[in-house]
Amino acid sequence: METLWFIIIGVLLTLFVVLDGFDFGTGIIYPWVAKNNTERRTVLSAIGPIWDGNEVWLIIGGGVLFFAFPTAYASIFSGYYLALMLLLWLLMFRGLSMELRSQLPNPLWHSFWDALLVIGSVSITLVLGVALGNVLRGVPLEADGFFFLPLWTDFMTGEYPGILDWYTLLTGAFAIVLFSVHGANFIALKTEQAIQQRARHIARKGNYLIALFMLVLPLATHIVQPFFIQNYSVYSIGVLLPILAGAALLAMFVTRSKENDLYAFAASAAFMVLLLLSVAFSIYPNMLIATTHSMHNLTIYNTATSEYALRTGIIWFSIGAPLAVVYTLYMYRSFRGKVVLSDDEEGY
Amino acid sequence: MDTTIILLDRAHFAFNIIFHYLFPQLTMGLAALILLFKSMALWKHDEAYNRAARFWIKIFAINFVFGVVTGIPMEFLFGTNWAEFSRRTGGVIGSLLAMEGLFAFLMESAFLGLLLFAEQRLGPRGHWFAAFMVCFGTWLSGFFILATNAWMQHPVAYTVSSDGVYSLNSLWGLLTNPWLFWQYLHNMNATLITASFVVTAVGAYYLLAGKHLESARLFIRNGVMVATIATILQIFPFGHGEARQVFLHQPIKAAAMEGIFQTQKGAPLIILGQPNMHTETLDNPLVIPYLDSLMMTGKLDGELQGLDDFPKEDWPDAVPLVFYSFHAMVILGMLFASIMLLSAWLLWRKQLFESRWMLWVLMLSAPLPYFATIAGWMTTEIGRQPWLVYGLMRTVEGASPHVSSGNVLFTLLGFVLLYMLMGLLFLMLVLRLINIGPATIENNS
Repeated sequence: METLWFIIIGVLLTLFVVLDGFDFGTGIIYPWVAKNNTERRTVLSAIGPIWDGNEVWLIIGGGVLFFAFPTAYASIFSGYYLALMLLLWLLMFRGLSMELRSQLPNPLWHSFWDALLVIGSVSITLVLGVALGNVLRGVPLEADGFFFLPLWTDFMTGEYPGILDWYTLLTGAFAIVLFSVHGANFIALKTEQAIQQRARHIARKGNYLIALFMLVLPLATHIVQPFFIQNYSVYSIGVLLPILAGAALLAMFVTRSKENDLYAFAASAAFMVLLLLSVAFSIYPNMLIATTHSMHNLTIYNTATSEYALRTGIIWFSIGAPLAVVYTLYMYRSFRGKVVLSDDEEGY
Repeated sequence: MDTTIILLDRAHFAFNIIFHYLFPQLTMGLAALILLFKSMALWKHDEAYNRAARFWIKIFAINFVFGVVTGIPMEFLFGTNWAEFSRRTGGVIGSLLAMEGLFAFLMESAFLGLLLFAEQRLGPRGHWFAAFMVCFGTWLSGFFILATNAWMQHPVAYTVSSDGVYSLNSLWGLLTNPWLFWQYLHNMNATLITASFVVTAVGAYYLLAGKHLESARLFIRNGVMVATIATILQIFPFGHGEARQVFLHQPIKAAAMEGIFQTQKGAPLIILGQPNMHTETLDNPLVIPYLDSLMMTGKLDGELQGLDDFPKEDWPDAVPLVFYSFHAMVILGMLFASIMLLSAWLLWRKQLFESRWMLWVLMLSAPLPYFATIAGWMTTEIGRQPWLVYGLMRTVEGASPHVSSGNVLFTLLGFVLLYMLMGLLFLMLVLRLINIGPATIENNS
């Protein structure tokens, strides 16, 4: 039962990363793909109606973590206190930037929110990448199951690292590149002409950077957490995940060279899914790894709530999840196709 | 645990939740009014109602955005600042927050997009349905949050392990917490009062300013009608019902609210007074004899427990604050009903649209339901102290053990600064929309 909820949380957070990932990515490449007000409105109209729904998956993921593994939720959220507050503030302003930009017909007002969108998107992506790095590297959990991380120490991994160190900065930078490409694939799919060409160009260049990171990152991860290899030797079928991730990366190159935007977007989405699944597979059954002593690891077993709650949870989750998927599909369907700007006051 | 950090953590959560709730408080009520406008448009084939709906959907959308962005932190703040509380109770209340996201949030965001951008495409019935689903989503969202609070006020459906960790033993029991009944009605009706006061106030402003007259009259007619019914229901039975359940299940809170220090038979209803914590008496009381006993027990000489019946460590740490906020809420509630009854009477006599003094009163009343709601929630939450979960877990036990007070203060100040800016921004954008008005918006699109 704990394993099932571990998988559900993994799926929810993966959905969040893949969905919100392309609108964060769009925010990052925004000034490079959209050069004037009409182009910017076009790009914003592509993500405007859906960013809020995408972000809901984070809220659902957080809620499910709270409910299924309260101890892990409590420890993670209080331990990353400073980084989380930063993330919250950034999320707020990024959300406002997209919705408020169109409220006043004033170029200075537009530029102000444009800048906030870009700064917000880049920083949030960095924080998310760093967060993933932190989960992989582990944190100094104490015997009571809690910890508190400073923003940085000496930038080295080890028993008492900070939120930022060389490894988490590497994963943060990787997230920025990955989201940019994913966002560029999405924008190429949703727009035409100049914007599309620029987005395709970014995706093409970005693919090489991703490939470069993929040469370095697995090695770096192995240095930081040598025991990850364990799960793969115990359940060798798991090796398929990173192999498939590699195949998806290859597909990103192939589809991009054919300029098939739909498949390219699907390929980058698949790549992200498989990458995150590989990560989840590596750390299972841990929720949070202790750098202090493996006895302090938070696992799905020592953080889960009661068996009854987990079982009834399956009932409401299996009613709610299909509904949520239907709403999401419906939303995407209503805004399908290339973006068409309308001239009235509605929209972005 | 030292008291500074508990106070700071409490201030942190209080500030965030009060500021956040300013927005949903309007969206939930306004969603119902928009649904009313859309229904009237369908039923009476009256385009004026569609224009009204379109205008308020725009205000709704801005309000909704601010509600979403200030709401995202709320789910995280349980874990960041109240980690021990989350660890021990997450198995119960976590499921409510997860369900809110799964069942309500996606519904709201999907149908709001349609409500805003797809009126042409959906047709009148489809657009009505979008309004219905947005209203349903926001009220469902309110249900899950109130169910969370109801569990903290009146814990049910749990088992506790030897190390003090709570887990759910009946999902149905949690969702049908008896506490929830009056609390939900009382709170949701307050959102209706808020929205109808705001709609009426905008109408009053237009009449006073001499513009958008047709829309103005429609706003006032509907606003006053809804507000009159809602303000009366709020006093009886909703407010009375909630006060009685506090009296039955949380006698200490009831005593602090009413300002009853000594246990007595035939207790008077205290209209005003000043709790004196040194002498433990109520100074300068203005009372109606026997009424409190009558309302709470049904008998003139019914006995009401005073604070002196309970050990001091179980008293709320700010008895005067509980007393004042409760009385502020009640007095405002009475005032609302009086204003709206008078307006309804003037409306019926066809004099309201010409009574400039009354229009001024209606316009300036718009912020008051916000004050009343904040006061009501302060009564509920500060009155719950010293408990975090009533009777089970004290507030001092709940904070994050490794987050120091300096960090809490720093992020609290950060939120204060951000929210001040956001508040200004919100007022600026909404006032601008009100100033543009329904007719002009119509002509542009």
